[in-house]
Amino acid sequence: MVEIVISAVLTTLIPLSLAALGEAVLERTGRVNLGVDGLMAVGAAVGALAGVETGSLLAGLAAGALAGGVGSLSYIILTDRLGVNMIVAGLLVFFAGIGLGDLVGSKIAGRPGPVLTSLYTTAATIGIAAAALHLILYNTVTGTALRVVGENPAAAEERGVPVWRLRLSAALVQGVSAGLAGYIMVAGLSYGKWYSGVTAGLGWVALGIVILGYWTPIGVLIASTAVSTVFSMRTQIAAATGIPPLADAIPYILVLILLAAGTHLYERIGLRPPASIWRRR
Amino acid sequence: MRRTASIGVAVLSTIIAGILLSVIGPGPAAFVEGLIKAATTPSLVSYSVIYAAILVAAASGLVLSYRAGLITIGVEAQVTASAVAALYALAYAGLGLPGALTLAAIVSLAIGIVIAALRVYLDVNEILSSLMINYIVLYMVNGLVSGPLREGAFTKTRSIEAFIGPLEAGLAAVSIVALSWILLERTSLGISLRASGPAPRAADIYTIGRARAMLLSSLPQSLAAAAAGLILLGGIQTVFTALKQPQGYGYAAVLVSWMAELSPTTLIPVSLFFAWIAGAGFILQAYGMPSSLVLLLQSIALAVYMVARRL
Repeated sequence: MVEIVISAVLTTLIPLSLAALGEAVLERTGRVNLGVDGLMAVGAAVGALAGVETGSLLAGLAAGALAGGVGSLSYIILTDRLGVNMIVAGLLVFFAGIGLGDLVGSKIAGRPGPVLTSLYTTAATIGIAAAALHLILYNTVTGTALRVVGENPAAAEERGVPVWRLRLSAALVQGVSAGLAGYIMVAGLSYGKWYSGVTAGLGWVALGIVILGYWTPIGVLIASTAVSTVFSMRTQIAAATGIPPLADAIPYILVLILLAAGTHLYERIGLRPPASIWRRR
Repeated sequence: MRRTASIGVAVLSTIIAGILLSVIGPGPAAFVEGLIKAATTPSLVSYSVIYAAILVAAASGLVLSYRAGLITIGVEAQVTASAVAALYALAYAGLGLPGALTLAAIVSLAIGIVIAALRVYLDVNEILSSLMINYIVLYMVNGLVSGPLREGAFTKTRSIEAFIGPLEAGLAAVSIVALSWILLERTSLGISLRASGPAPRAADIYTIGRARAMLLSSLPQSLAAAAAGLILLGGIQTVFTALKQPQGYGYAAVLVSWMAELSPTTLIPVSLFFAWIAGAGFILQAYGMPSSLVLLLQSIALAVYMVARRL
């Protein structure tokens, strides 16, 4: 019984935390990619195509990661090289990702592919990655440079910090994470079968998680765990309330409530997110 | 590049992209056939005009909010929820058209005001809150379709007779654009809205202020989204089934408003172009292409336009 519950939590926690961790790294450089869900969608479809055609989970993961990386590269070129507003660029990536994902995925809809069975190993890897990311961000020169870029890119540039290179690297980390997360949703949550809307909007939840986790890898991991635990209880919630759609909406309601409470709380206690993005006042 | 030339480049690039992408599916000839049929077949032209009217109505409201600095994406939920509310008023409660309009407006206003209030009073990022609300509304609609509004053995609602044709839809869209333009260009609220986005400090000092401008902008924005929902119900979708994903009308309206550079008058040609692509996509669906191909092509149009404008 306990194992079933843990598995249910992990199937959501793994993709959610992965996508959110990547986004947190990017946001630390002062760029918000609203297209996380689109990158997950395209990663899910391209990964599923590779997985179904080759029968290899590894091929699916590699293809998903590559697709996400390419998508995120487009985003950072649009914002940092072509001067497109980052909100518009993110939404473009989202819309294009959903469309492209459906286009690619419709070729293999319903066909079974490899299934991700090693949930514990994958979750442990993500846990270690989060801890390592935390260490890098707060205890290394690269991490400090990354955070400085998010605070004041102009000043960072002047002091010789390679702003473009750091943002490009962060965008690649973000895209690869989102692409992997998307394919893991196919290989884990839907047992290897792709279907339209497989990401279920979790990319948007991941963006909320970054705020809830206060842009720190460990915080993101904690927030992802909390939301995934509630999400995994949706069958019980549906049974208790007698309203199944309400249970499906639980993660979105939860993130909305936490955002309302958390954002206000952050302001009250004086915490400051990366200055060049979320600071609104 | 000048605006007209940029739109031309975007149109051309989208057509080329459509031709290339249809290689994966039915082939380039089918896409070209779709474009021609969408522009010449009377039923598809009607569909495209009504589709464009939905986008124009929804985007006319977005222009106001975006100018004020309230970047809401909740229009997706507002359009769908308004259409369902209007359907309830017409097919279940027997409230007639005034009742449908009122109920659609109330539902849309409730969503719009919540998003704006969260932003203004709790400083919650409105893009994220509105997107969460999009999914919450999606599941609520599914709950209604499979529960109280379910009719018969299948998970679908009662259907109504279509009551909006292309002429009515077009007239409604042009009226809404005109109202949006007048509000933005000829009223003191418009000055506040236009100042709030690019010059927030000046707006705080010399106008009603950013916060009030954002809150107030959510009112006409919500009403415009409700009108879009009513056009959707009366012109295209006279029955609702459970939704797997958001329908995309609101999302497309977001793209339209950015491509029109938040100018009400430019919304009409951009919406007609998006509707033309949607018409072609409608034909391609018969060949097994996914409906979201339309969203992909529309986003390519915006991306090319954005890049062309900076050259």
